[in-house]
Amino acid sequence: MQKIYKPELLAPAGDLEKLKIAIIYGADAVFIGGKKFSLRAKASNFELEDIKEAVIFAHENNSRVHITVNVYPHSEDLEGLDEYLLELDKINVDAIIVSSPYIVKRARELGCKFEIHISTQQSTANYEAMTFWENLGANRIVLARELSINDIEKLKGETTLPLEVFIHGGLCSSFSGRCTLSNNMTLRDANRGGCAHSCRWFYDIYEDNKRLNNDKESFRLGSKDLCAATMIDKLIDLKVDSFKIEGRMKSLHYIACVVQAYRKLIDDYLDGKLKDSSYYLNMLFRAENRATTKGFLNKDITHEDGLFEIESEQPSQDFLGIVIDYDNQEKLAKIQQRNHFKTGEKISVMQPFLEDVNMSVLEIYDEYMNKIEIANHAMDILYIKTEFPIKKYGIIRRR
Amino acid sequence: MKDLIITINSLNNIDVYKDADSFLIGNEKFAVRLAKSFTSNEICEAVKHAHSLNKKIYINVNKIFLENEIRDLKDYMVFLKSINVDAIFFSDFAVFTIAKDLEILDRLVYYSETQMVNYMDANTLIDLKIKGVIISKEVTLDNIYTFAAKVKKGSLGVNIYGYYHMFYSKRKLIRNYFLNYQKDYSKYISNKKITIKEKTRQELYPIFQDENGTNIFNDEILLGIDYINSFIDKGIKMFIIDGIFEEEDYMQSILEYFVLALKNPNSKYSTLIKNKYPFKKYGAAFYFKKIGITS
Repeated sequence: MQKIYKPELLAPAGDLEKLKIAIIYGADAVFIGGKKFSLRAKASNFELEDIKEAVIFAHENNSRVHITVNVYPHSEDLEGLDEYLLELDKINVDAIIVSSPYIVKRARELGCKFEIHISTQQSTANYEAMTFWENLGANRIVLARELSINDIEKLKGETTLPLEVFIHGGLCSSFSGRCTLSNNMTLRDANRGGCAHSCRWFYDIYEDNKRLNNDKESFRLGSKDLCAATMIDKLIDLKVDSFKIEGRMKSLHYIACVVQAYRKLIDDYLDGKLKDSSYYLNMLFRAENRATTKGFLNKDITHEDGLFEIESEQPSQDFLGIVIDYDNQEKLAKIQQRNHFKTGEKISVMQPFLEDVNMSVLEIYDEYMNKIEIANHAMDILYIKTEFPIKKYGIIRRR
Repeated sequence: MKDLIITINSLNNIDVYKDADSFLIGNEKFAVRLAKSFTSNEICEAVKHAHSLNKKIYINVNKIFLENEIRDLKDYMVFLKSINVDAIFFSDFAVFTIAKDLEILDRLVYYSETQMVNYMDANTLIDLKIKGVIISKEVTLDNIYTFAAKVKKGSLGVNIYGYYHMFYSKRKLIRNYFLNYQKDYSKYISNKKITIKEKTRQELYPIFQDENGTNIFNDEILLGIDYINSFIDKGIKMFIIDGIFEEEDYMQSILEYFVLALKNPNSKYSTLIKNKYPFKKYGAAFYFKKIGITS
């Protein structure tokens, strides 16, 4: 029987709570970093025990866990690699994401059962390079982020290897793995998890030591963030195997919003019920209000895809709390608070696989059930009276 | 046997740089960061001329290729095989697969500039029957020595002189900057006199944009002349002297210093070079800099 095509939605997670949120909100797979051999050093990477728990939770929920083993290790970093790979195999991770040819080869020599995915750090962009990796033992290619839809279509026509495509999140300005700005400017190794994002800084430009920009202008290298929401239909038509969301350092709220939006988008398209793109884009922009681009997916990159004078970070205060339990009898939601709110505040509640529900905060109680008017201590445990039941992992947001 | 490899910006350089063993050249359709782009006819002529002088021609094919460029890449590699080039320096593994089909794996040298940072990756590629690897520029002297101790087969190489590369993008960033401010950009493309400076720092980083995208280099020139003999003693064979941004007379002078250094291992030629060219900024790249994940 022919397998029914359904692309994988692959989400990032910086810790166990975010991993659970990603899966609950609809991710088919989650990628996480261990304490060793993983990029994104600032993400709160997982100890082996956490990875074990992550794998159990994911498998119980029909999801998969991919482990980033994607650094370019220097010679002195290789110690402990065999033991680490064997441990990952023992706890049944589904895949590792790798950049180093040696790590691919070694994992196969050790007989590890997990899949090996070639990281975008290798900027694989053609069939012949894929063949090299396949012969070395790879099971999937995470494509270079410099490919257009047409390029991906050509590759899908040539290879039987599953292809993974980035659809949302931050973009390197350089080919991944080919940038050492951070190494040179800050002594932080971009290819070992220390990237200082020097490409997002402001520069002056000169010709023969004569400055070409005025004080109001800056030369920029950085890119707007990728948002491929309006191109998902085309990517699904190409039968791309996995859609990857970037951002292991992002917040729980971000993960929930972005996963939910793409889950709905993919499912709606496959069910023939696609809504206007503004519906999905509004969901995404609740997560983070950053300037976005379709990147190379759409066309050549121009100035419109660069950061220039745009301030890219605009933190939202909308995320008020996450529901950790609900008492149906008392109509009380037990929540962990994030941003401040007060009685009477108009809120909306986001829940996995449900439309958002609007309501008002009727009453707030502290963890000792003392009635309060204002919730203004992040991470406090509170109870709020609501007009409707709310599921565990529901997210309460300002309307 | 040491192999002193130099980039050239004219075929005449083959005669001028008499002390070089090999010349690293390329065509901009298949390579980036070239001192000059040579046509197929020029490459053919270079091979004939170099071979007549018992010198070697190495071809830089260090671009990252899209699928629609592969057919031309295959034709180019068939051509390179037919004219008997001595080596092909590559960074995209497409080149490996094509070379395997053409049965010229033993002419390949891996040269990605940023990714060859451990000896096991070197051994992995050399075990696949390629000729050798060039160690990346962001490694310490100790790590270079570790490579030398642990890589027993194939040829190891290092960049020993030149501006060191730190950014390779498909984006046309100089064009995009001028477009953003609605200014004419034509004279700043393929222009090797452009630099950028981060607003809170002093360093002027050379930046170069052509049809392939944008490359940025450190403001310091890697000057490894004082270490070349110890590298040779430990078994490193290939030494790249990269003259991108430099003129012939200057490169000839630098090459002569390397020849002196090879003859007189105990002298410190970096000081002589620094004194002779006080306006140039030289450094030892990451030989003594330990990089980590936090500042």
